[in-house]
Amino acid sequence: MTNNNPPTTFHLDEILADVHDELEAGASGARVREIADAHPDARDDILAFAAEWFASDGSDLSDDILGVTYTAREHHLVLERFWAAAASADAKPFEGLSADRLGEVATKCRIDIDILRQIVRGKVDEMSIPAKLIGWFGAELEVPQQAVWSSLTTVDRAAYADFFAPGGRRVVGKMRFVDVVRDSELDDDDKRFWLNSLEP
Amino acid sequence: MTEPNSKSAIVPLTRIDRKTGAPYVRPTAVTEQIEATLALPLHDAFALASSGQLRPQTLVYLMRNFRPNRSNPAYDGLIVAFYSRLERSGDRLMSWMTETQREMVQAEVATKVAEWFHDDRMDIFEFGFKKGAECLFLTAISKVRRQTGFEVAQESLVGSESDMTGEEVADLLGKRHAGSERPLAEVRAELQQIQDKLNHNERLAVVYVEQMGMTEKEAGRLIGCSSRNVRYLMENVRAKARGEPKRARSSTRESVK
Repeated sequence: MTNNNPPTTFHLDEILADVHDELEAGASGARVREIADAHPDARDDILAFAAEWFASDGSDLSDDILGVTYTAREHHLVLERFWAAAASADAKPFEGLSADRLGEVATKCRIDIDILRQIVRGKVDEMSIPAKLIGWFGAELEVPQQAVWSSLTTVDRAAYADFFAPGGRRVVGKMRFVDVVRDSELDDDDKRFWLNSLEP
Repeated sequence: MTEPNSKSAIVPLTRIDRKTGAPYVRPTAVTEQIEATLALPLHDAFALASSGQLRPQTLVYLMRNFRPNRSNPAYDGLIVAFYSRLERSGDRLMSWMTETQREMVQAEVATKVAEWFHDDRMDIFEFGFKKGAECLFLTAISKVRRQTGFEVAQESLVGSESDMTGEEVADLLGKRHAGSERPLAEVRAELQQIQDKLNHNERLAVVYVEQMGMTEKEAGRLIGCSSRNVRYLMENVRAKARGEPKRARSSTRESVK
């Protein structure tokens, strides 16, 4: 069979993922041929994938084995490739929101607007923020969590605290989230909510 | 007091399971660990994940949802932990390949992962890291196999003590099977038990010819070898199925005598 009109990479990935599901559920060789015949443009890819699955013993690294004493080869190239592919436009989920809306978001996320402002302006070390709070921002703003986090880690935000620092770009000038909460006007319950999990 | 936030901080998976028609759901243990991890400052969460103290699905969750806009050491630790695990996942799957083929597969897998991260298509890795890794590796292995092909060396068709050339043996095998039906129906049921006796190419030949019912020519095209090689592989499989590892070679020599 000639592949005059091969499927897109995305389409092929989806087809093979479905074939993988069927194989793991016990699909026979005949069933694989049936799937392949239904996708003539991807026939060879499907048959070859299924044959490798049948012939393979699978990976011996289960999800329950945590630590892997093995470092990826040429990891500097891995990092380079990853960041080249990940380069994306900055998202600005907080931009243009009214003070009322910011206050509402802050309240729903168990902080106050002063803390939110400091986070958005880059005055709080983003790595000290509980991951849960980023998730709540995403849910309240109805934007991907990744977009919220991305907006808090731009070069601008990173530079904020350093701009006035005599030593140049340094993040030590930033405040820790736990200190910001402790010194805030949050009510006791909300303060305890954050401090209990952040303070030893 | 502020009312507790009713929305979950955990981003649900979106890929649809064709069987149920609903999105995939992470295993409970994974969800619980992600919840516990999200209560930590991100610095601590990243450190735990990159040092291999969290489940691989949690590592992927953090990578997907907390990718900064620029490289930083804490996040780079996650990337290296992820790729180290991914490479290790492929070890057994690629154990039969040459070093060059392995490098080609690793490059294919790495490119695909970068693409999937970019397009936010890593759901399968959160559902099951092993499952995601196997899917990627098997896709890449099947692709590389068809790009590089393989041929059983003619000389390996006979023992070193034989006075026949590989070409002669291959021709004999061809004559013996010309026009005849495949004789291995009775062996099929035993193949599962002797699977571990077969090498990877032999297993592939069995899958294509016996399980999928293909001709040797079709199987050869997909494996990347000639139909004669497929025939040789099946001869080996038959010999091993009978518990006579050298049956194919010796019987060939006997028939020559």
